[in-house]
Amino acid sequence: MSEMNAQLRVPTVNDLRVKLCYICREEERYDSPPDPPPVWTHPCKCTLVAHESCLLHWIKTQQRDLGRARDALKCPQCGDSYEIEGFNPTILRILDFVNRTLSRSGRIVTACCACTIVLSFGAGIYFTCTTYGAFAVRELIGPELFRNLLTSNPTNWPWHAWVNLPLIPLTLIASRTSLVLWTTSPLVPLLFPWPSSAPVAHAFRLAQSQRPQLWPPPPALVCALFPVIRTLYTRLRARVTNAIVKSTIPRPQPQNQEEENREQERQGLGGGAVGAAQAFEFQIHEHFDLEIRTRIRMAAVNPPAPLPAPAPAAADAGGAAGAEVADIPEGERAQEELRAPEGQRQPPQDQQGQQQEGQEQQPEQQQQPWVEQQQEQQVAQLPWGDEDLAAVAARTIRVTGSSLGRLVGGALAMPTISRIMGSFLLRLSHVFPLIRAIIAPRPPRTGGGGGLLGLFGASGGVPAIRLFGAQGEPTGFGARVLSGLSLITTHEWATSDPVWWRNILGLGMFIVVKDGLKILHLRLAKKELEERHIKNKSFAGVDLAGLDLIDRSRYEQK
Amino acid sequence: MSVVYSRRLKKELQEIQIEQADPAKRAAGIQLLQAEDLKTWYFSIEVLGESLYKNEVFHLMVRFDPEYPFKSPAVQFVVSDKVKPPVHPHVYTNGHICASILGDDWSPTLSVMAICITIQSMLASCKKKELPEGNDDYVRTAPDNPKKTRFVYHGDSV
Repeated sequence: MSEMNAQLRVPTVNDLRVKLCYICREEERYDSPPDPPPVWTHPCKCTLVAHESCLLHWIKTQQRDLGRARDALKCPQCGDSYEIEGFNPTILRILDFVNRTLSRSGRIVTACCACTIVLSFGAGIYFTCTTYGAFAVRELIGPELFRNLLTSNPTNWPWHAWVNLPLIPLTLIASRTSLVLWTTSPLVPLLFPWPSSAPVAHAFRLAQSQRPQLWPPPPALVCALFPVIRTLYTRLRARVTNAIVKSTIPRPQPQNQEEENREQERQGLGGGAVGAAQAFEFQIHEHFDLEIRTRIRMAAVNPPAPLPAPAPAAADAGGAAGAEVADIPEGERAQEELRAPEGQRQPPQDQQGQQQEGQEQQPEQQQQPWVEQQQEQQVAQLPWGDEDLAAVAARTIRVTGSSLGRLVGGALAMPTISRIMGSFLLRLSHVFPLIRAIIAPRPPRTGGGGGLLGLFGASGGVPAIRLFGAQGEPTGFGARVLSGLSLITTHEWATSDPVWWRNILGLGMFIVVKDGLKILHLRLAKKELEERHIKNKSFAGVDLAGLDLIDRSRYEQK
Repeated sequence: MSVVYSRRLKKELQEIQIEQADPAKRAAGIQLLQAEDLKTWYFSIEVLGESLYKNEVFHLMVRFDPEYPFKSPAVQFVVSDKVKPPVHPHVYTNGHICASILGDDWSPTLSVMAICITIQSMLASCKKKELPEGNDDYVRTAPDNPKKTRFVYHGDSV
């Protein structure tokens, strides 16, 4: 066999008895070739054979068609690749290669252009945010500290500034949306990092004689307490809103023995009524008529529906209220701090005063009765029955151009408002020693500080507790604890004029005043709605013949 | 290459006519109706046996251009008073057929008869009589020659 194989060879296309071109279907017998004999080819692994001219034309046709060019050099039956030989000099291969490389690099350049556009757009946003962040920090901590910690020259900035500063506008805006996750965040980039930030400017190095003070509290503590205070304030405001807005509806005075019950019911209603208040407020700001109509229609279609659980309602109070009522995060903090020196927090409404503390401590216990009472309430008091639905409706159409502008603009104006309010407080402090004690201003470092410090001591009651003894050691238990809390506060920060403190307090005041005005607006608008009636007009200009009058002789046509 | 075109079509036509004359060879349900020239041929197609198109007869029009067999012929169902195209997810109401072998998957190994058989089996395997998606839009804007349409082939390849 192997001897035979040595003499045998593998057959080629020219050894076929009959050749059939798979393209033109021409047959050719081996013993009667046409003249001139055409060239035959067997280009692949299967049995297909073809005239070379037919196959070359087929390949050319395929290569011209973009959709099929990829398979141009493949056998349509077995998929084997055709191999082309012949005229293919080096220069043609080089030119082909260059051409392919150029088109490939063309794609890369296109991709790079797209990337550049995206990146420069992103960089533009980044630098705008950073610039705003620097502005906001300057407004909050005051120009003096800003000069020491950041300076207006960005090349001096510490690395974390490039993270924190651009985050400031974003977190400010996010804090006004109803995302619970974000509501606590604005202080984190705005205030938290700077006390521990090493000063970058050395021109205003502090004289060692000035010592860190216990008051105002360290910014870290402020940041940590902020969410708690914010929540408390939001709840408090919800109750106040509830009480004031609801009080325009005449309701039976609670009996003495039932007073506690009724009171609890009213407290429990907080969530729902806050929703109502928001819806109402929304109507004032935005599409007033539309909203009213929506509300009425919803009331008509929907019987008292199953109510959301109290927990979401409470979240509404914190979240949606935060967004709609322009809840500025520093506000609660500041408001609470303002109150703190005056003793325990006092709810502003007498009718709620006694229940306040108890309610706050047992929110869970109210949940069960809450639902039932709320439904009862809805059936009993028609005007309020649909308010939850209205609140839902208000929330769904909240993002309009105007409301978006209010949201963003209000958020970005916060630092400036806080600066203005802070300087207002500073001015007040010249007149009222109590305010001076609270905001604890210090003289600018650049000159004559000692005298003013002394003045504070003399004017009495300023809690100028010394954190460090002569050797720089904490003295006393309280001082030690507080110095622990303020460990991350640099000397620079601790000894400078606490502009940030009075600014935050001022912003809190601003928020309290603003919320007060809003509640007033709410109440007035509601009262107007309740008491409006339509003016009666005579039939002047109407053809009297068309009217069915009691005594026609008594009237004149006009 | 018009030599190839006429040579091949004449050969195909000759083979078809031989098949048609011989009941043993001819493909059941496919009949050459008319082939007066090398430009347009007509076939009748019906699906024999059990199928959704039982007892329905369709007419197929096959048009060639001089690029044949390097380019596929233009194949469509005839729409007239007497014959209607089949209701099929790949057949538009103007008779145009969305089949990959009439477009990108065409190759000279195929033939007119192969196309007819493929279309016949496309009908035979149909599970549900329904019009193609977007039929109305396509019919409103479709060119006269289905080869000018760039179909996007999807689903079962036919």
